[in-house]
Amino acid sequence: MEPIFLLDGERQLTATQVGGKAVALATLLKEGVRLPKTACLTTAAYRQFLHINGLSEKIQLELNTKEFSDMRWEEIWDISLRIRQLFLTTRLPTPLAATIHRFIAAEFGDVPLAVRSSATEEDAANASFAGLHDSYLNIRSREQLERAIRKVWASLWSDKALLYRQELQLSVGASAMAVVIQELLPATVSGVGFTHDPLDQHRMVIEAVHGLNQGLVDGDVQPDRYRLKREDHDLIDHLGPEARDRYAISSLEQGEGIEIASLPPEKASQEPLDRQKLATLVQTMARLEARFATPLDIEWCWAHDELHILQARPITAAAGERTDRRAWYLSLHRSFENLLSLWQTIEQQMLPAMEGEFEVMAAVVLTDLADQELAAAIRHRSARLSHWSKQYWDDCIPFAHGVRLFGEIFNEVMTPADPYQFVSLLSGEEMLSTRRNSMLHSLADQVRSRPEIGRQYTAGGFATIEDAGFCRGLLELEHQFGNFFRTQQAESEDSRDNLMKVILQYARLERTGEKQHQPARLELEHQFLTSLSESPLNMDGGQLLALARASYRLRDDDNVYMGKIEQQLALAVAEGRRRLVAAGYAKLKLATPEELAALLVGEQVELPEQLRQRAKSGPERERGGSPRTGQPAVRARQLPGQPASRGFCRATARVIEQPEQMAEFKAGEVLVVDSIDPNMTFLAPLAAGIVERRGGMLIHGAIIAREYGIPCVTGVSGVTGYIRTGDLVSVDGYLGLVIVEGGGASAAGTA
Amino acid sequence: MQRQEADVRRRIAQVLESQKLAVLATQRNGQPYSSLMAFAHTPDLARIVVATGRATRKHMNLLEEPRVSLLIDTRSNTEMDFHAAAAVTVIGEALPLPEEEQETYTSLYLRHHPYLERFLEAPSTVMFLIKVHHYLIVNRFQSVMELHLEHGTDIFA
Repeated sequence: MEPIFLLDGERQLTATQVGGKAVALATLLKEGVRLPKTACLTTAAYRQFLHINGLSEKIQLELNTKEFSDMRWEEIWDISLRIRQLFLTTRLPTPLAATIHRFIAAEFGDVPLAVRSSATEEDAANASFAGLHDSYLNIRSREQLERAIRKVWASLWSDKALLYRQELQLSVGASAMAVVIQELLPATVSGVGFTHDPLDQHRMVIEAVHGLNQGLVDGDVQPDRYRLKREDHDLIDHLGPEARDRYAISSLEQGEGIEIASLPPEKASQEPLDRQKLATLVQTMARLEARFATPLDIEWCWAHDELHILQARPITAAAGERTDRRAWYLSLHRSFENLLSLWQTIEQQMLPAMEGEFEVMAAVVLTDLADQELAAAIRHRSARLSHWSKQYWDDCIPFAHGVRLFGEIFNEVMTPADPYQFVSLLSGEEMLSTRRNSMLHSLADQVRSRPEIGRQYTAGGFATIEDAGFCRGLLELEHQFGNFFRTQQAESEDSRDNLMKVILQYARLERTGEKQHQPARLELEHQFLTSLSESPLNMDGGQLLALARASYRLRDDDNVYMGKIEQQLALAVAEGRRRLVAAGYAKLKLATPEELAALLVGEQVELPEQLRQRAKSGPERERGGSPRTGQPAVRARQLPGQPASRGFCRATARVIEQPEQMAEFKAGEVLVVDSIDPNMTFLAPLAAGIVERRGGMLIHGAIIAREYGIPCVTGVSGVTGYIRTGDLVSVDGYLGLVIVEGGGASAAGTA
Repeated sequence: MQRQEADVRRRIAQVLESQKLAVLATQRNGQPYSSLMAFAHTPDLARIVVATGRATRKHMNLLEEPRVSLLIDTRSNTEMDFHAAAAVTVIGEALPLPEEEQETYTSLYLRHHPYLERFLEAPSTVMFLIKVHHYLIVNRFQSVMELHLEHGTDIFA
């Protein structure tokens, strides 16, 4: 079989050769359905590309650094980014490229093209891959075509595709990607139709927009919705969009991709489908459903006054959970437009609202409240925390995709050797955590210049420090950033003593001045913006960069805001607990805020006799290690993770498992933790390196490590079980390795 | 004699060509230590290049004691190995790869192991060049031949 050929209704094709989408399109052609002119580049071409460039083993090395099921979604994204980079930086074999270009020139001339995925499992009846792989529209030049083909191939390894395959227990190694290349029709109207309404099987539902389909598929253009009876095709209702004011068009200039433009007024007042067109479409949908003998999801468009079918795939039989999960994976990838609106929501509404609530909560003098009022405060704060936590999942986590989108575009335009070079363009913006650390530095400067502060503290604790300016500074830090040691009562002497220990460690650091990012960063920024404007990608570089920087900064800041609300709940809980203990209650240690509130108002609450371990609300803890006493029989020597911040260090480890242990952290130690929460990042300037069980390039530990230029390895399974405080460890932030030399039992202490 | 040398060279080259991995033996304070390593060799068999992370034991061992041995073999883990497998023992001296030779040996290594590009590029990875003193090739169960590239006495003499 030749590597590229035109689809017709004649050939017998299998999904193994041409992927599921091409097989479905060939079946449509056999039925006499009108399709745009369509060619297929086979899976053999994809395999040849992998083989000639030795890519298979590179991909497998990336995927097998640890158990796939142990990886968090962020880690999978990182892997997928590195794999995508392999595809972007590797050229097509010359003879294959020549064959493709010859064929396209002969069959399509210079019409703009749509380049779509056709994976081997795609569009099978038992699994829907809709939206999991990528398509590229309005491809005009040879260079654009080659790049689009490589990107479609790479999308076989996208994070969402990897996760979905894992969920369906499909082997990623066995799958392959064919590519469908179609003429991009100048559609006046387009949309999707479901022959079975997912909500009511007696109805069909059609969504239609002016212009190209992509605006609808990406969620950037709201559709008109038509519901019809399946039985006689009578229109049940038509629901217009809130605003019919935009449409997707292919850019007329050399840029690839599509643009979202304002809809001309004469179209804005017009439904996309008149009754005649609607009838034609419904009849075609019914005919196709009968032919395929299964409910279908059909993409269609009107061009040159004719109805064209773009694709038809079975509506997944086992909807329900599977489809829901896919929707969640898909929701993590947002379009540029969508991200811009999320940014507005988070920065203009959500964070100011959280700060406002924090201020109100912080103004309450808890000790003045009656028990009833305190119980109400605990319940209120607990409810607000749940509320913001949900908002965090709905808005902040998807907004983090801004960084990813930027990374993908940066890598595509710049093809850097280091796929994370883009992060250097994002870092250096002032983050709340770096501001907090600057305050710590300035207090440490005072300790250095006025040694009596340290002496007084050593003699009698924080309470005996006489320097009023210093004490004010510490209280201001506490006010702005809340309690650092959450299990200890905020603003207590214990907590302030611990904060002093941290400041004394800061005072031991050499002040080398802030990191000088600026010149190199400006140069890189300039290069990127120039390359993007010269590339065929149709994007506003300045706006993209601003969005990505906000996404990067908020990734850290939003957690600080969340942390402040959490602390206010913790304060109220601590006050409640204090009163209950005074009233003679015992076994309160593991009581929930709700249980404490109930006890405060005199309700009966059954507290457990034995200390029971409640399920932790945070990420699940792993236990990879052996018992923590004595020398275990199995010891880790070299633990692989992800290289999250470049650099190398060899120093003594300190494992932090409880917040109060943070006060023991010494300058020059390696911080080893399960997961760094944003309130822990004040340890970063003290640390020689950071090692974290939780994985990802964009988690807090990784972000702050890069800010301070210290090596960081994340995603190290079971690390807090394998490393003990006092062990000598090497952190290799280039390769993502932690080498354990042991000695924890005897070497415990300072570095 | 020349024909025999050519034959032994050919057989050694065949074994080296056919394998991706070698067992590297190092030692510290008299304690032997062996490690599985990706390797690449020069066509004249005079040099073998390996790479390791700089925090590894083998790296520390190599810095303290450059004398090394490598084992490269064609076993398939079947009964046939006793008559059909060949094993090459390398005796040599490993030194950190000099800066001026980085490019040559990096490209040699990557030709054999293109998938290790990221590993090799990391600043924490160190390449060692093994200057081969002599080879021993064992086949047909107990046939052992030596190929001396450097004039000298037996290593254990």
